[in-house]
Amino acid sequence: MAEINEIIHQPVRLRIMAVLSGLGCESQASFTYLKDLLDLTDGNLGAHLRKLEEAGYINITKTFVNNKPQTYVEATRAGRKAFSEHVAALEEILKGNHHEASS
Amino acid sequence: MNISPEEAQASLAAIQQTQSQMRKLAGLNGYFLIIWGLVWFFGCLANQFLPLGYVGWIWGPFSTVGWILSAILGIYLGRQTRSTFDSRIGFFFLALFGFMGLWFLIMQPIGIKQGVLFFLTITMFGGVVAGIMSRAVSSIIGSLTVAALALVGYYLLPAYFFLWVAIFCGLTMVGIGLVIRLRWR
Repeated sequence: MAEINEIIHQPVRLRIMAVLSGLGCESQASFTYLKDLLDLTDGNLGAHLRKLEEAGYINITKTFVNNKPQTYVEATRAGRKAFSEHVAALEEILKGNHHEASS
Repeated sequence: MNISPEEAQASLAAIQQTQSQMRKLAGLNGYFLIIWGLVWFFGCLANQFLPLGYVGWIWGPFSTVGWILSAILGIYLGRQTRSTFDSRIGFFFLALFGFMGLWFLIMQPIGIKQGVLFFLTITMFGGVVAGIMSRAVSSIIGSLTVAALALVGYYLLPAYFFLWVAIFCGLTMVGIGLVIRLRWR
């Protein structure tokens, strides 16, 4: 039975993982794209990305594009797995057969 | 961790809403088809109705504008997301140039009509490969449809081939582009 993931369940991190898992397996989202899409400040997004990175759910790549610093973020294999398990756990709760919700 | 069904529902709704916002970006890819559909439409209309000496005056500026707009759009999209698996891009061009060489040997295009058919089928082959690589069924079906329509026009209506390509290939590309754009806006 799938379990609720406490790190991913936080609303901002949930949306970050939704974006990154929605991209193709070999795709990265830019920091600016995530910030604009999720309507977050630099500091807020950065803090949540660090938390996800510490958990091993995302990789952060810093690079230069046309001499300008750019940050790209991608979900790791573990991150995609954790996110899909979290979604499965949410769906189980809705169906009413999650052991924690029912206890 | 205890979560109520209401909270679970709200989380699932947030995921859906976020992923639907993402599709807006994917919808911008429709502009590539609209741009190149219009280039093919006006270019082939020129081939059909204008004397040969004037055809270049249509294809040249329209293609240039098409490349400029595609580059602007590509740069914009590239700033949002990027692919990390560079060998896939290498595979794409390998497949494209491999097909181009093979198709050239088989078809041995002579004249403008065969040249248009040659480049159109290569472009659509690129659409099929890109669709397979990105798992975009609409790109595969759309590209095969346009290529099939071009072949039908070439063999069944040779006298009106350029008009046929302008309408059934150029405008089909515009139509598919609009569908993608409107569906994911």
